[in-house]
Amino acid sequence: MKKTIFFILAVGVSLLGATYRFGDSAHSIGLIKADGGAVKHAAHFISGKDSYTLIATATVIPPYRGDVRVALEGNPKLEHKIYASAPVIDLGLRKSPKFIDNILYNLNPKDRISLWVVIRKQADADSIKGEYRLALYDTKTNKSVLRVPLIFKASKAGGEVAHAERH
Amino acid sequence: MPKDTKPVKVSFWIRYRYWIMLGSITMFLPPLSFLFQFTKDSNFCGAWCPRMFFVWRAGMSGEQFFMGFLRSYMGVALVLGILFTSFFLGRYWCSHLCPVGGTMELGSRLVPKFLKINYSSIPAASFRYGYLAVFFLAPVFGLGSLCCRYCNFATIPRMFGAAFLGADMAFFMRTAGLISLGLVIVLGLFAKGGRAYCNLLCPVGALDALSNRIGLKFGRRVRVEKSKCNGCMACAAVCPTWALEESEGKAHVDQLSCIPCRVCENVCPKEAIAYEKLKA
Repeated sequence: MKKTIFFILAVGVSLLGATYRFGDSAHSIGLIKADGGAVKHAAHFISGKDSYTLIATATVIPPYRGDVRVALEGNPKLEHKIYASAPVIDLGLRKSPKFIDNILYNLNPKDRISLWVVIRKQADADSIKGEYRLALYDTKTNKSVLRVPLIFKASKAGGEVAHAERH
Repeated sequence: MPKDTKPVKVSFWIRYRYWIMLGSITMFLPPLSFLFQFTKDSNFCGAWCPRMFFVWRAGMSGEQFFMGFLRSYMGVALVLGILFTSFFLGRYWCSHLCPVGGTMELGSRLVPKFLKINYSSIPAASFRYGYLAVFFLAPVFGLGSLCCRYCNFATIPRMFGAAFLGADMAFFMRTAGLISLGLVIVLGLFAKGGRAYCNLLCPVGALDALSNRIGLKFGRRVRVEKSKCNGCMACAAVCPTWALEESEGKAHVDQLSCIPCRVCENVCPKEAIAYEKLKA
């Protein structure tokens, strides 16, 4: 009996954990391509939070290679910081892209990148609403190689947002 | 030395377990992340992900499912290796090599005893497979996913990396990241034995335990020799995964929870516990 109760309890708690979305973070999966790239789905957030985190992962599709500038675009401008995942101590076993001053240097075909965009609402500003985009541009041609739409919307009842953190 | 006292030979795997765990933590986790750097990764996310590739999501085609295996090729190799070795040797990955479980167990040793939470009244296997059922089925029915959210393999490396990297710190600057951290603290660092997270919420551990249970007849396992056991249950008191329970006045090993840390073997006054093959 005790085992059954704990099994049901685990199912209930896990189901809540799987379905409930907090709306302050989202994950986008994209492809970096010379002809503009593609993203699986937009990143959806719930308005009214003080900070948001976008985890943007992408794979470089051959034959694209080059340096890429990363920018968060949209109006009004948002206070944000962009970080890239990297080893703390790079042992140089494999050549991987470097992220310095919002530019990803030396992207090669089949490279995988992971960017963390932390967006903060300014203290005196209204809640963040509307559409923004995380845009990646080739630094030589200034052509877009990936655009990730970020959509900030007021929550529906219960705070559910489609796609947020869906992988 | 008196004539009737035989020297006690302690197995290498018992004697050096903490050193092996520490070595694994150093090899896998920041600041070195040595093994990940062979695949241009810096943590378990990406090629090394051991949790996502085997989950089918609503709307997924067969090709997309297969591509998941290719994307996480090191994770696939790791999980297959874990299942294979567990079948024959028991769950040595969990007890000695897993840097995630190792961090929680070693970390819990730094927490004072009076702060430790004892989870042993929870029937671990029931809870674990309830969690695993949702882990598999929620994505199939499009209800959501537990694959990335609340991931122990994502959280622990970033706990180490957060001191050095903004990206790793950003992991914790969101509600799901903070909950993951909370789970590691409450079910790991503050748990008696440090293994409640492993025992209740690790999907890789849950699959590994099944392999361990299925291969019971073929491989070596921690076993209790009933004729020697006096039922003192000193073994149960030290088991980090509360895998030892009393049955008919004797200790009994639950092979769905046992990891061969073999701490019990050391404390048994009757030498009734041994890591061995099933006797004919």
